[in-house]
Amino acid sequence: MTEPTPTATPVAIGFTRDPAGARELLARASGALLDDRRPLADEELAALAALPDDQVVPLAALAHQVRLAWRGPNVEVEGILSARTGGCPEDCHFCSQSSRFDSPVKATPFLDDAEVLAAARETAGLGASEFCIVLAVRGPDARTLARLTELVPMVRAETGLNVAVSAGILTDDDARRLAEAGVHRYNHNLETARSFFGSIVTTHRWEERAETCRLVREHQMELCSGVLLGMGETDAQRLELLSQLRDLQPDEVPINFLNPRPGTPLADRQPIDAWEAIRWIALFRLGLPGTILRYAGGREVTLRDLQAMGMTAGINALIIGNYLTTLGRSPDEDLRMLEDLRMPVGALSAVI
Amino acid sequence: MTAVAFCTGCGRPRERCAGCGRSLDPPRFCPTCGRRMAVVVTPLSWRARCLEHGTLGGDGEPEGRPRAHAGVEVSPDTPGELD
Ligand code: SF4
Ligand SMILES: [Zn+2]
Ligand SMILES: [Zn+2]
Repeated sequence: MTEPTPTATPVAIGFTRDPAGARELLARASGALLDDRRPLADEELAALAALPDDQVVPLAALAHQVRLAWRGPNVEVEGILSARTGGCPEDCHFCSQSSRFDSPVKATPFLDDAEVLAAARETAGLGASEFCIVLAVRGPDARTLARLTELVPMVRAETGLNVAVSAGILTDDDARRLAEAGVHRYNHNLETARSFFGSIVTTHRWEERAETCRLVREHQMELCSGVLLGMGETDAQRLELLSQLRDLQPDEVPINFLNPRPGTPLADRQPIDAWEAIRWIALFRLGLPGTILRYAGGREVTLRDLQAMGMTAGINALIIGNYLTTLGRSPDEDLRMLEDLRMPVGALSAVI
Repeated sequence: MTAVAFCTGCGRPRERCAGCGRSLDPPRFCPTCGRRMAVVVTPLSWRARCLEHGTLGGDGEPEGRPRAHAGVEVSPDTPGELD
């Protein structure tokens, strides 16, 4: 299931030999999450993850019910901007912005205020409620932090959008200053399981990421911490990652799927199978029933025509328009999809 | 129209590119000289600038959407935007 499969050849789906057992497993999860309102245990999630492919639709249906019961039908729409692109000293093996790989992405300096504001206005014009300013850095230096603390209130005042920031590893003081500047949500992805992290990043440790996530919470910003699936991690490691996220309790979890980037060490991997992606969206919703689960990068290449299915498998937020260095599908397509699904666009706040 | 001599996906001379066909990537290399361009991607558009040959794409312009490997027009340079 975890080995990426060439997308050209259809993969036969696996059938359950024990349909009654599968139904019982799903019924127990449904009772816990919908009737008792209790989160599932790690072992329960592991059992659900082992269900054969023909159980993905009932699994997704349950995840959708859980999303509706815990978070309602609204979908939070966000625009993102790479305000400082490329030239990053870190070596995240999936990333086209690392200076360590021979990537086509050329480093560009911090965009000026007018350009950031214009991008925020584009975002507001699409009906989004959140705008995230993203920088390709290990962490913010003094100048970067000063720029951010000016920009965030400016964007907020000009557009009325909630402003999120993603600027790498933070110190306690960085986190305090960003919180004071009015950063609504801070993004810092775990990306992958602790046990797999060393195969993907060697320039910083998983623990540093987790520590920044803790600082974000401590300074009362909302925590956005996402994942990147399809880098060669095993199913057990995906479950491990889910469990580690459950410990951190992020308000938002963006789900990225690997879109292999030329020049990076992961350039030759295949995107994961669409059906497998739906299974893991559902499992992440079942493991994180109250979170904002956002469609992020790689959904177009991974899910293709199944993008609407992810919206009924637990997703309740999306990044609209383009990503950091790659393009998204047209915003009209996403907005029409939400209309057809009868999911209103609206801000989602942290669960108290 | 300027001749598209280089692949905007990989920067190789057009005839030596085996096919970069990525529809969801902005152009990364100048179609005229094959240099890496400074690319700004915003939620609704992208803009790519060659030090020599100016800027492709642009704000809100529908051509600023996926067309990375189509024939591209080069507009006069806008100075002082990027490094
Ligand atoms: S820290 Fe961020 S920008 Fe830098 S290489 Fe890693 S993912 Fe890319
Ligand atoms: Zn090419
Ligand atoms: Zn050029």
